[in-house]
Amino acid sequence: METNHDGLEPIEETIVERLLERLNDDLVPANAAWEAEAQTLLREYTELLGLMPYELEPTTPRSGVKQRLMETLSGKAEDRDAAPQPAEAVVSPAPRWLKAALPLAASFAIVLLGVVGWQSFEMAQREGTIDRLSEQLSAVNIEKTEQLAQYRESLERMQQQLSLVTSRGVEICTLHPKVAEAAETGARGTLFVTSDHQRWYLRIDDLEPCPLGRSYQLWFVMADGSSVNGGVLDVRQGVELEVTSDSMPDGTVAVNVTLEPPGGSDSPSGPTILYGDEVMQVL
Amino acid sequence: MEPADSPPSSPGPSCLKSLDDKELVRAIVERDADAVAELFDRYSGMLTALSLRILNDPADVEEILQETFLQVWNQAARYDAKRSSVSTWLVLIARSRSIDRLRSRQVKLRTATAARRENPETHTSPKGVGNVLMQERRRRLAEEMASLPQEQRQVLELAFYGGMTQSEIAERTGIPLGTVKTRTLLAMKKLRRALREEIGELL
Repeated sequence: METNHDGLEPIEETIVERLLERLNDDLVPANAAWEAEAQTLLREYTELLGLMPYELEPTTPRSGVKQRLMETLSGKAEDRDAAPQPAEAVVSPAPRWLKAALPLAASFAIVLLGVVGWQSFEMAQREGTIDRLSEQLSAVNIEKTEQLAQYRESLERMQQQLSLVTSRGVEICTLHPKVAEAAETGARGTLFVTSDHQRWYLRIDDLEPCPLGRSYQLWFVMADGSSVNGGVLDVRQGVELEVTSDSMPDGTVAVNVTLEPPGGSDSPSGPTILYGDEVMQVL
Repeated sequence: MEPADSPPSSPGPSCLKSLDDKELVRAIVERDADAVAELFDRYSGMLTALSLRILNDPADVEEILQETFLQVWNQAARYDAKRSSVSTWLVLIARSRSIDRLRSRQVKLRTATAARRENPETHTSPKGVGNVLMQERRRRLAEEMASLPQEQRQVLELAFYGGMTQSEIAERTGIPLGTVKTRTLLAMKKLRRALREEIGELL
């Protein structure tokens, strides 16, 4: 009966612990996949537990206990005899693990539902956020596209201007201030004209915005003293004014800027602000 | 085996007294109530003492005794001789039910000495030839339990009669869990070796 397998030490400890703590209601299953020695150990310790109450003085039950037991059994036997019944099923109480598992399973189901519901809400929230971000991205893309178009347009204009001012035979005419006020601010203009006197580019710096109710107007002056309207200038504070055109009136000998009523005039009527008639050929 | 000192039971065939425990269980499977009565006569004294030791309440003990033998009546077909002897099967049922009752009613555990002192009136010495075996077993068990070191006996009694887990014992006594495990195992090993003959009789 004595087993001395060293490998059984932990098994032996487990057997003792499980038997004492009643971890199996109906003893440890006999078909456990252990070695034969372990099975022997299990049986021996089980019987040892069965012997332990022998240390106690036996105590006769109080009178009537046995009688009540037999009456109960008789009642069960009579019920069985009274009517044909199938073989009495073994009354097994629900296993402990099942009694504990059902509320646990119910709790788990409730928790799972809550988690699913919360996650669905979170997903809906995130989808909304994604939609908003997509809209914002589209708006930004459109804005950027427009800006890009503007930059391209501006670049083309600058390229044209550069092409103009660096063209062979380009002529330059500087516009000087004619009134004290313009002179005080250092207002000046530079006119670039291609050799064919067609394309031109005008740049005006440091010209104060015109007084309220007035407007600046550009004139091309002919040899006979007449003036051809060059257009109203939109002068803004601190912004360089650039004007360009592909055509200049033939016979233009000078350029000036006058102060006119709003919207300009058909002919110069106000004071001359800037004037230039000296042309210099650069290239 | 001779019955313990008890009033005449319901009339049962005298041949039942000559059956061993396993044969009695087989008779119970065949729905022989008298076989239950015979088994009751043989082991009610020990089972009552066991339940009283755990619960220390005669009313509860009676219920446990009823429940134990009703379970035997209902589950006799499930008895497996490979797992244990009949007497051990009964002990484990009664112990399990007693501990369940102990836990559910939160009955205070008293020391073994106090329990014995308080119930001297229920002490009855079994009579009859058939009880010689039981008396011998009792003597041997008492001898071997007394020979255990006090600290080992303490944890063993708390586990067996108190239904406490080793963790609960450690918490109750302040002894480290590992020490509790060690003492329990040493006690059981010692008893197993010392009582190998008695155990062999049951195998």
